Amino acid sequence: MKTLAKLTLKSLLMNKTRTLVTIVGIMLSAALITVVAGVFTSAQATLISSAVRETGDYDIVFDGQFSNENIKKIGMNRDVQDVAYKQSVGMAEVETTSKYRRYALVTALNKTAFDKVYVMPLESGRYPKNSEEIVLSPSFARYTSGKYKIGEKVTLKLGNRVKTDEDNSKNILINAAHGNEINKYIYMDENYYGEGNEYIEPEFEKTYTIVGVLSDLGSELVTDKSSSACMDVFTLSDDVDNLQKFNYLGLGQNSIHIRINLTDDAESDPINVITQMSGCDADFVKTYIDSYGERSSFDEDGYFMDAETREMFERTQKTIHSSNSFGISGFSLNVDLLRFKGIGISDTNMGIVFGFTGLIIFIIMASSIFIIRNSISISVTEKTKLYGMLSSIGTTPRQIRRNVLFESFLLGLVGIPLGICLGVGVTACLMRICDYIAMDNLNGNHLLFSVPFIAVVAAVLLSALTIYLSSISIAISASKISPIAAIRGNRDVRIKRGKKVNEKIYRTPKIIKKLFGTGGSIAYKNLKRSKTQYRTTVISIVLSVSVYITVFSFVESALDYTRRYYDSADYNMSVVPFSNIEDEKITAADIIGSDLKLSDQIGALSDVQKLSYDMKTINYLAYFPKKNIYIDKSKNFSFNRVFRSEEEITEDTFKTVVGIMTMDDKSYKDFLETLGIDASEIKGKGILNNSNTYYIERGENEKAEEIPSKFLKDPVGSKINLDDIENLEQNSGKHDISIEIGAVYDNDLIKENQKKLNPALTSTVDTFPYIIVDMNTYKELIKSKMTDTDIFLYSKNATKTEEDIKELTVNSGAFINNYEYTVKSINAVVTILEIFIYGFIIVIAAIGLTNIFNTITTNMSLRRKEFAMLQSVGMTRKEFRRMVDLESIMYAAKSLVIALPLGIFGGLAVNYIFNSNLIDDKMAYQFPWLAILISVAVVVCVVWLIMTFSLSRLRKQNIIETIRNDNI
Amino acid sequence: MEILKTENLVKTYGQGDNSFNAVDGISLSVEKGEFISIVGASGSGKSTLMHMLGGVDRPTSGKITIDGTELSEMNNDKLAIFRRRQIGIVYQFYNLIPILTVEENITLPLDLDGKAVDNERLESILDTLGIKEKRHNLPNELSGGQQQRVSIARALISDPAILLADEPTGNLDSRATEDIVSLLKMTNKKFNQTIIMITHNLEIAKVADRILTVSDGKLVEEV
Repeated sequence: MKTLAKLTLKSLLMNKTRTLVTIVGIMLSAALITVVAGVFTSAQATLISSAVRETGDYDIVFDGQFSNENIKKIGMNRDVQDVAYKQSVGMAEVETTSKYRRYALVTALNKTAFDKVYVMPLESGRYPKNSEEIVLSPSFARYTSGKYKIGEKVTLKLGNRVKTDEDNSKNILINAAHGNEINKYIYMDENYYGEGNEYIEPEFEKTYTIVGVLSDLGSELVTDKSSSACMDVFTLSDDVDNLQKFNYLGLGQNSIHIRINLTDDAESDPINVITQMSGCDADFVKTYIDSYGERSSFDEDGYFMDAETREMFERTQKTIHSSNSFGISGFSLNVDLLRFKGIGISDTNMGIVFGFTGLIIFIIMASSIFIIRNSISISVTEKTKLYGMLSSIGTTPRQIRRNVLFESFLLGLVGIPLGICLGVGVTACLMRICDYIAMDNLNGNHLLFSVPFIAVVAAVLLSALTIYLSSISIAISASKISPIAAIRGNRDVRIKRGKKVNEKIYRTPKIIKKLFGTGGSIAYKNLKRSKTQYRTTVISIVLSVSVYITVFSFVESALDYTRRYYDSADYNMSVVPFSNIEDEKITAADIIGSDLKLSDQIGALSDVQKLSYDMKTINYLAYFPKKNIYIDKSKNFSFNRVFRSEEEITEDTFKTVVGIMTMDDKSYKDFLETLGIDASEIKGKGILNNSNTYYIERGENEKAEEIPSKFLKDPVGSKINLDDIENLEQNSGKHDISIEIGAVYDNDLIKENQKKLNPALTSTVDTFPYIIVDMNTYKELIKSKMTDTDIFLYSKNATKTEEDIKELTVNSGAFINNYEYTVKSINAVVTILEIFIYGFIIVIAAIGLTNIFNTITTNMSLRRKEFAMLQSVGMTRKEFRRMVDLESIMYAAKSLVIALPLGIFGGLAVNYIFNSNLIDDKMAYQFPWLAILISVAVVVCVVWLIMTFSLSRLRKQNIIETIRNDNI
Repeated sequence: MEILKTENLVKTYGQGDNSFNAVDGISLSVEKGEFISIVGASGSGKSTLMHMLGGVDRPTSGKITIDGTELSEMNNDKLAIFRRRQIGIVYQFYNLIPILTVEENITLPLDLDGKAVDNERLESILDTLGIKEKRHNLPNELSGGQQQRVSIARALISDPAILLADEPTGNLDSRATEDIVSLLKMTNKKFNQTIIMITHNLEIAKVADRILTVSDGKLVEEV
């Protein structure tokens, strides 16, 4: 075996070019796997970092009644790494500059809470080191106008916030949802109106030293709540054994709020930890966690929206509390952070990301296996004589198999580490480049580079597996080579002869002879009669090209989908002007006129490049006779089954809000063009969205079935009467508006033409019916002041334009939305995606090219004796060139004829599989024109170049040496 | 008529102190229609001489003239053309083109020259060499002796000035050897073909009109 190993090593060293090319192929494959894994882990690290930055580093929140012992017990649980707790201390009245904010709310946090769990960056100063020191929230600093400075002492009279009800009974404003935690979310509406029936009832006095001020960039705990009457200050709760010292208000255990970090092991299954600690079963825990949203809805007094939900909640709390000894009565998860860590909470997005990464790695491995297999196959073919000879002198098939695998192992030993290093390096560069491209568009976050050891190990193992799978079948074939076949050295050459003698099969087509001479004739016969060699070359080209086209078509579709999904670039700002509808002197016409004037003014601004607007009112009701409504009998529903609210239906009519919309002239013109209608046909009339969705109620707990359908049977030509909702009581038989319907459109038309139509038209989809009219008709018909305008624009300097619009609307007011930042972020994301995707395609193509190079050069090398013979018989350089020309053409043509349809079909198949996992918007298939053109050009050029290059090398050889050496 | 002449032919391999002359100043002359054997021990330089005569290797110095044409002045392409028209080579290991049939292998030199095949000559050669029925077979369908016959036929088809045979029987059994040697003799007689044959076997060499002995790169004896 040692000799065999030496032989293998020697053979690899002798065929330097082929060995090098195979190593390059392995390297690229390993690098690609590493990059995919590395990008995934880096992206994950980035997301985790941003989640920690935004919401804090914790896994689980526990609600409940926590004594010192409870907290210690929780901290000592083997699955718990850290416990952060927060304790309400009290509220105190302070002098502020805001009429809404009146109180300082003192909260004590332990060190873990300050350092890790709550995001509380400092603006200045430091965190408190004991319970006599406080750090101020930015809202406190802001609304006390710098009155309280770092280093100063402040004495607060702390107590509960109390409201006096109408019957003069006292009501401590506490939020039942969080046990007895002091409620800061109730805001000061009552006091604003000067009733003055809310105040602090002081229980104790405490003097604090101010040591720091927190930054605005903190998390929810710290940020300013516009609805809150309170401004936060924080102190340190430094001794879990002595939490009672904060129990000034007698809230005791109920005022403590806990967040925990799990150990790395436990983090993989937080549900299990909660199940263990809460004493409830896993299904209950999951249901409870999933209903977090419902449990969080409070009304303005801090109670649940309805008594039923509150009662259910309190019952649940009691159930949980009685099941465990930790004091836990409720729990929730830091869903964002856990999701990014890949911990199994059901989430389609993360599922798709994992699946997608896996799919990419699978594609890389599959193509690499084919390609590397080919390289190894070529090497074995070259050594056929050797293996036959070895077999004849007693080498067992097993030894030969192991020898082939050993060769692969050697190649992998060099290629894989190089590939991994290359992959890690490329990942680092990619993340840097992408971070640069993303620049400031990631909300203060940066793209991190993170390739943990486990990812490298995984890449090594996957690459090794790729090489093993590439070699094993070849190894088995090599072990089956018989001595005789090998020694004879016969290439697999044969002529297909029929039963009858047929001279034609020996002839070369005249056109070949004419165009390519004798060289071409030999090439033609070579390709027809030496099928195995031809096949190997063709297969390798087919594989490379079809994989390339499949991947290319898929990524073009994916990129198009991403671009469409993010829907960027057309507009980067929107403006909604306010109207003073309460002023009785102002009419609908005035409002419309002033909005139109503003649109013109904005359109005239120097940086505004594109502008469109819409105007609409949803203040009208229409009554439709039942007989006019389209009921699709084939969908098996009857009128009475279809509508959710019975108020909508009377005996013979159906009433619904109908929206009336108009838009700028260009938008209207585009709309008509899309419908294929002439403006003159529709003048003074309306275009109705005749789509509707009917709901069929199922059972009590089941979601209603949604059925898209037509709305009215035959509305064109009919008149629709509408009543102003404000005037309903006054009307009797008389209608405010009557519009004739001149044409109809449906939801699909808007969805398909979204890009070129006014954005507002999208809001007419999947809602109550809309009628679109031209501006003049709108002005004529609409008397209701409840008319709103949306202006969409694209400015090349959105910041400046925003200032300009603020100036224009200084008196009237407007809501200005500058989403240039969002657009920039989206564009950055798309650019980054393009870098990755096209980089991926390039590497796949490179792997394919190395394969083609290897196959063809070896092919030519195997025929060196033949070429020497032809030289000795008198074949000139010209004839050799013609031979190469024809062989190149035939290889390229045959390969492309198979590869192109295969690649196109592959792209379709992948598109179909991907779409079957997407719920809503499907990915449109992009025919890979460019990839096809590139493939054809590259294959023809590359094949020809490689053959010419190989041949020129072979022609330099000494004829006799070659012939003689091959005969030994 | 003198068909082949060499003047002080030298072939040197290696450089400096390591150089040696495989052929060391051989001058010879061959008349048309002669059958010459060149004998010598292994490493004597006979094969090297043969390869230079066939134009597949270039001498370090000296001249080779075949049918009035000096080989040393030709470039590779011209030499290739000259080879296919004026020189036929038979190798020890046949060296047929594996993807061409017997007939195609034979007519290859003519194809390369763009010349039409003289069917009469072809049939005559096929007949003489006893391979007519095998004309549409591939080399891998033939025995060693048959392949060598094809090789001889290919060497003859363009009616070359000289036919060079380098150990033509080296790979054959005794029966096939006899056949081939007889065929060469017959070819020489029938077609008045000038043949130069290399062999290490004196018995085989005796069929020739003249035997030249080469030793250490030099022509030492003529018989």
